[in-house]
Amino acid sequence: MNTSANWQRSLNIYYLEAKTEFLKAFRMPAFTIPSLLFPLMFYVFFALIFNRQGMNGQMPAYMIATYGVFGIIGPALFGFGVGVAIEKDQGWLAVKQCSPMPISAYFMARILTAMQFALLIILSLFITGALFGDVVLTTGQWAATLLVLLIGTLPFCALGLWLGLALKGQSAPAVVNLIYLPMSFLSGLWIPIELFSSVLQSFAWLLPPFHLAQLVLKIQGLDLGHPWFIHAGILTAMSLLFLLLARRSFKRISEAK
Amino acid sequence: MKFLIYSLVFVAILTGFIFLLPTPAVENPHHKTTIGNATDNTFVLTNVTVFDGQTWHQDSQLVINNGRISTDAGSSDELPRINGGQGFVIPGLIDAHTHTWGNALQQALQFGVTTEIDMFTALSFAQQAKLTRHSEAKTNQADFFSAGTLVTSPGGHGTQYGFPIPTINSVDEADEFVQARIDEGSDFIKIVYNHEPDYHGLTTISKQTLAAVIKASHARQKLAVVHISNHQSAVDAVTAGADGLVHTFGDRIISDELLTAMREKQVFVIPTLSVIASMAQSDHSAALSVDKNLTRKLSTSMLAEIKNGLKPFHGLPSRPDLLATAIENTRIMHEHGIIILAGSDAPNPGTAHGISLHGELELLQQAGLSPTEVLQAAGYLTAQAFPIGRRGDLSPGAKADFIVLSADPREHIKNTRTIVSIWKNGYPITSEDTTNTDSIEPIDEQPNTLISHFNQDSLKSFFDSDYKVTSDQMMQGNSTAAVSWTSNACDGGGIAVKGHIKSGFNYPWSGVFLPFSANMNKTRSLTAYQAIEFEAAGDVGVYQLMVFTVNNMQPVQIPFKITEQCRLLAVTLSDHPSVNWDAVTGLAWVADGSRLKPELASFAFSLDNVVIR
Repeated sequence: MNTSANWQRSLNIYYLEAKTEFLKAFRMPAFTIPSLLFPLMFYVFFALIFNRQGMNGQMPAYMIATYGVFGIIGPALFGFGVGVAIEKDQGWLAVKQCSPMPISAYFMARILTAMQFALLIILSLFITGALFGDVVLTTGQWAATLLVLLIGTLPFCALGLWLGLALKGQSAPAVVNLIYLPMSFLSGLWIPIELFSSVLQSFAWLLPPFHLAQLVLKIQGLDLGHPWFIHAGILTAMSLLFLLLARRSFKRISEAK
Repeated sequence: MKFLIYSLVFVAILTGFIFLLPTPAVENPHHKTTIGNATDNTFVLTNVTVFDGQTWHQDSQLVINNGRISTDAGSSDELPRINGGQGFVIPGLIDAHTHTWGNALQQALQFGVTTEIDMFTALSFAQQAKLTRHSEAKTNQADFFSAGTLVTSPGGHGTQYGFPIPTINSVDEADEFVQARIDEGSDFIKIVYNHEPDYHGLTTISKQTLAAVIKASHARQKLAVVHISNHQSAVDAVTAGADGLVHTFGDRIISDELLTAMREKQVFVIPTLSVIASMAQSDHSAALSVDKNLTRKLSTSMLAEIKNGLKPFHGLPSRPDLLATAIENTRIMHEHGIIILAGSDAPNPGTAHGISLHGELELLQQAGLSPTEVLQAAGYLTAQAFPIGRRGDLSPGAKADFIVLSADPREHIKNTRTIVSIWKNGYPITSEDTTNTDSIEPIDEQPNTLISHFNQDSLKSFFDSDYKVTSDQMMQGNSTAAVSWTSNACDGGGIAVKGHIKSGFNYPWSGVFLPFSANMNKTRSLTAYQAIEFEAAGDVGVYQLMVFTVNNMQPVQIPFKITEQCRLLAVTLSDHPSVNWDAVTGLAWVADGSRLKPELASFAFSLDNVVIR
């Protein structure tokens, strides 16, 4: 009889943790401004100003997909990678572990925060592309792009979590940046992957953003033509690997105490 | 509860937002145009000879109203007039056999192919690409019709391209399978069939399944066309009731029985001689890529892409008999009144979208079709055979898709390459070339002798520009070069060029470049001069003097020999009439692909006393 009350109470914990996490992130301009503005700024530069006529005028639509991927990686990687690393060093993670709140609420809150930021970035890209880039897609394609990008934050949350648990708070921002920018570039998010040499194209297969970008581009039929389940499968496998590595780091931290 | 309500409101707003985003114009085959509502695609094209798809109209005019051909009479006096300069107007070409994705439709239009009939592509592309085909709006791509997913067996031809497609297992599935294709939006049904169960290591559907699929298509008023590659398979397909064959065959000369059956059942054929030429390792496609009429307006990147596509199938033996038999079969079928349609099968090896249809037209002329019949095979007859609406002809009501040629295609079908302008939905198509010709200004000068002695430590040329490095890296190649001043050239000071030729680009080069203006934005006429002279010495071998001219991304190459001893070399301009000496943008002295061998790859030479006199 009181299971429903219990259930509501525990849902409330998740809700409050997610809300406070989002507010905390949103009130950090150093996080909010680059996360929201960089993808949009790059999109305006590379898809609308410099390369508008590229790929027979398909560049603005193409880059909605690739800068969408670039945009959603940021909050996921930084929220987890840097956020968790700092809170771990400050002992805040330990406090959360001791509190009666289930630790999953802590991670769920961060995932939801990353997704909310992702949503803001995607919508701002959609509006910019539609208004200034003459991007025209079917309603189904717009919706599918949004959905795949939102779900696509998960592998990068997993990667960020591992980095956050493995790295020291001080070094985390530098290391995450060192991974984020080259990984994005080499995955063909800034320049279409077709223009890469074949060696670099093969190398991109090792990078998770490449696979997510191919999935999103497939919605418009602009991908390299490999089956979607290969990319989805590789992304899932990579996510599991990151989670496994994160678990190992988490155990090491717990045992060190 | 409150949380739930908030969430629902949020999702509703988000959904509303998604629906507000711009979507392609909805397909509307019954689009009506309002007469008198003058737009950019309403005008009269005067002073032209018009082929309307069936007959030629000498010294005539064409009335275009809102992107469609209109009747000659009426208010045409009030419409804007465009002078066609005594050009020859033919309907936009229709390629009846392609596989379309990526930028294919844009590329096709650059060659005057205004409609592509696709014989199998990814569904996601097909559903998007067909949306605008009945529109009269301004566009930069050809219209698109498609079989969508082809009908093949598990492990059959069509399944090997890396994306999963539904396949048919047995006769019983025919109705359901065809209905599924139609529900997906297939404009017609394309079936792959071979009479022997093993088809180059692939499986095939059975004769019974073939017949069942054709019957299921006809029951739903859909055309059923069949991919075959030999005589016996053609016999089976025609017996089973196929409406058309999408290839001809070269394994034997067509039998009288098959000929009779095809004529009686009015089966049409898309011979795709271009792709058969490629399988036979013919040099047919190589000729296309060097045809200046076809390539002069292309950007460097598109030209490179096309040249790559035009390379024949790799690793097949040379089989001139295969192509000869296929052409002969086409000739016999045409003689016996069987409808022949033009299709390239681009982008299979040896073919590329747009350009290869011009090659196919030439092959059809070789197969005995008159030039006018060839034009009908790429237009009027195609629109009779396939359900693609009013196109391929220029009679009132048809789409205003047409090409203006400078030479009469009745004289030779190769004149379809003398394209002056391409019009799609009544709008002129601008060239894909990004070089803006208008901003390139000619410079008139007195023909003073121009000399670079290189006596000072400087790479300054007689024009306001520096000698500099050029290499195939601008085409994603890997060759390198370094250019510097040296005091040890033939006559003291000169230019030292060192470099490496490496594989990467198809036509590797590296060396030194003399731009005729600092930004390559000026042309100079050399018509008042007689010769280009220079002294050179260095690693022995053949090098190239490249002459760059305006609107021609591919420079003309004039070979010359370098020896260890200094030699004075001279190029007499009148010996090279193919160069447009009136509008030169630069010269280059380079090593080329003949130095690809490792022992030759590294080269060095010096250049001195460059003179234009």
